[in-house]
Amino acid sequence: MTGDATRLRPASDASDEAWHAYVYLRANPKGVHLEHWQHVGGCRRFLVVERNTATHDVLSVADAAELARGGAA
Amino acid sequence: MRYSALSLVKNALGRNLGWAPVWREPEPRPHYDVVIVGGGGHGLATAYYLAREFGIRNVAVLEKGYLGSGNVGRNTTIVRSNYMLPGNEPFYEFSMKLWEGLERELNYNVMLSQRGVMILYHSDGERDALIRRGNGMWMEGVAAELIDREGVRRMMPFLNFDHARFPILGGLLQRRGGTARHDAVAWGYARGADRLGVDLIQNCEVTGIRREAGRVTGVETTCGFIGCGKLGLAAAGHSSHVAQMADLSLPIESHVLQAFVTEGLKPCIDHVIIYGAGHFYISQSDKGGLVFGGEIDGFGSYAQRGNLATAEHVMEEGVAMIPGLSRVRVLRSWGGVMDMSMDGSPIISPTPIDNLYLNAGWCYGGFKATPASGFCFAHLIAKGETHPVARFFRLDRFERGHMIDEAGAGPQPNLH
Ligand SMILES: Cc1cc2nc3c(=O)[nH]c(=O)nc-3n(C[C@H](O)[C@H](O)[C@H](O)COP(=O)(O)OP(=O)(O)OC[C@H]3O[C@@H](n4cnc5c(N)ncnc54)[C@H](O)[C@@H]3O)c2cc1C
Repeated sequence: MTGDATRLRPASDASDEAWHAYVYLRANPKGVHLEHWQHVGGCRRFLVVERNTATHDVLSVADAAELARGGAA
Repeated sequence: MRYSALSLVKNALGRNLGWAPVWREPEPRPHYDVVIVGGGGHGLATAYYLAREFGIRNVAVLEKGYLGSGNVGRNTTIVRSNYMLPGNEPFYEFSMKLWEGLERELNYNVMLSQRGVMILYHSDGERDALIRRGNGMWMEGVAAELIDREGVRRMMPFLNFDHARFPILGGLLQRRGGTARHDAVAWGYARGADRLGVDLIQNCEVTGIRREAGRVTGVETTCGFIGCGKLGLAAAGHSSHVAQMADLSLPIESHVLQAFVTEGLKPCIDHVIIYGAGHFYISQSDKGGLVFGGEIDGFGSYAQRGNLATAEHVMEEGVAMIPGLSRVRVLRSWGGVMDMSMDGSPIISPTPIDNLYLNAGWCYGGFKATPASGFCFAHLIAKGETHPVARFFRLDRFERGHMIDEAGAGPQPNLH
């Protein structure tokens, strides 16, 4: 698991507050959350996983690169 | 009732029918000077010191379950002050000193056992890192000893010294470190706080934080609205969840950590031993069970239960360190929700909201901190100023670039 997928990298000249929020602050919800995972035991792709942090249920999985390029979630 | 040898004898002769409940179960009042969210070790200790040290007795602790149902009753009970960084070590040493007087202070047996905490090393690099850590401790006036291989062998002959990949070359020992009975710590502080007039309200979950003109006026709970002059959050693994009720986003991710206990054995492990190859720690409880644990599972969780992959990994580490462990049966395992902070160090801090204070980010090291955390949090709430030994634990340190990163792992909470 590499972390919170709801945080989007700000522009390089964005404010200190925006960078602080990106690097350090986390949504950390109790319930449904989007996270980055890497499929290390297989294809090694980075994935965006929709998961419930209170029950550990996995709700959906999408390829992170495809998602970033605007592909299907 | 004050506990003493005399009270023990009296009650034994009275067939133990004379013992009274240890704390009251009051109905919440409509308003308190200070409300603390979370009846774990830190919340209870905070209430105790508010009343005892800072003269604020109109205090309530709100706990959604029963007192001590969170991490304070789930941890592996290791108490130590062997941190390296100047932001951390004085705080943990202050805590160690409070531990050393705690039973007398609380008139309660917390079974503090200063049996020594040994961290093993397996390479020259690891030895150098431990020497650096030991020097960091000495600089704050805390004794640390580097023990060579033969010295470790004399103390712990059952270790796997000749492991092909991770031979044991020696260790760093803090003799004053050890264990304490976790439940007794919660009960002792609860009893102490109750006796000073603090209301301990169980089965009362905080569901909202009411604010007016930028100040907190009280909390919505499952037992109705409770007003307060100041609000302190000590919800451990649920810190982000509770802070969100005041629209605060924290530098914290919640993760699950598991622990394990074996069947009872005759005394065999005299110390707390921490394996430097990976992360594994073990001690023997007074009942005889071997209590051990490893790393967090590594993914965000509020579930208080972990996965078998981590259980297997922890057992493998244990058997690599003590081959004889393979013959022992595990009785139980459980999980607790850790508030992993972005630098691995805690937060005892004012917040952007005037009368809201935060105690969080304890990762998996908050049990040893219980006395000092309560003391320093009470100090902050009572005086509005941070206690000197906790002055580095501010929430805004991330913004200002003053992280306290013992592991040097960067802003990746599952690596601390
Ligand atoms: C398996 C495991 C092993 C550990 N080992 C060690 C160790 O060896 N040494 C060490 O120093 N530390 C250890 N820790 C860490 C330590 O236990 C914690 O850091 C510490 O207990 C956290 O503080 P606390 O006692 O106040 O937490 P808790 O006991 O978790 O208290 C927080 C309380 O807040 C309550 N709460 C949450 N949300 C709400 C709400 N909305 N309303 C009302 N109440 C609420 C919870 O029910 C809970 O009782 C370990 C933890 C675990 C899980």
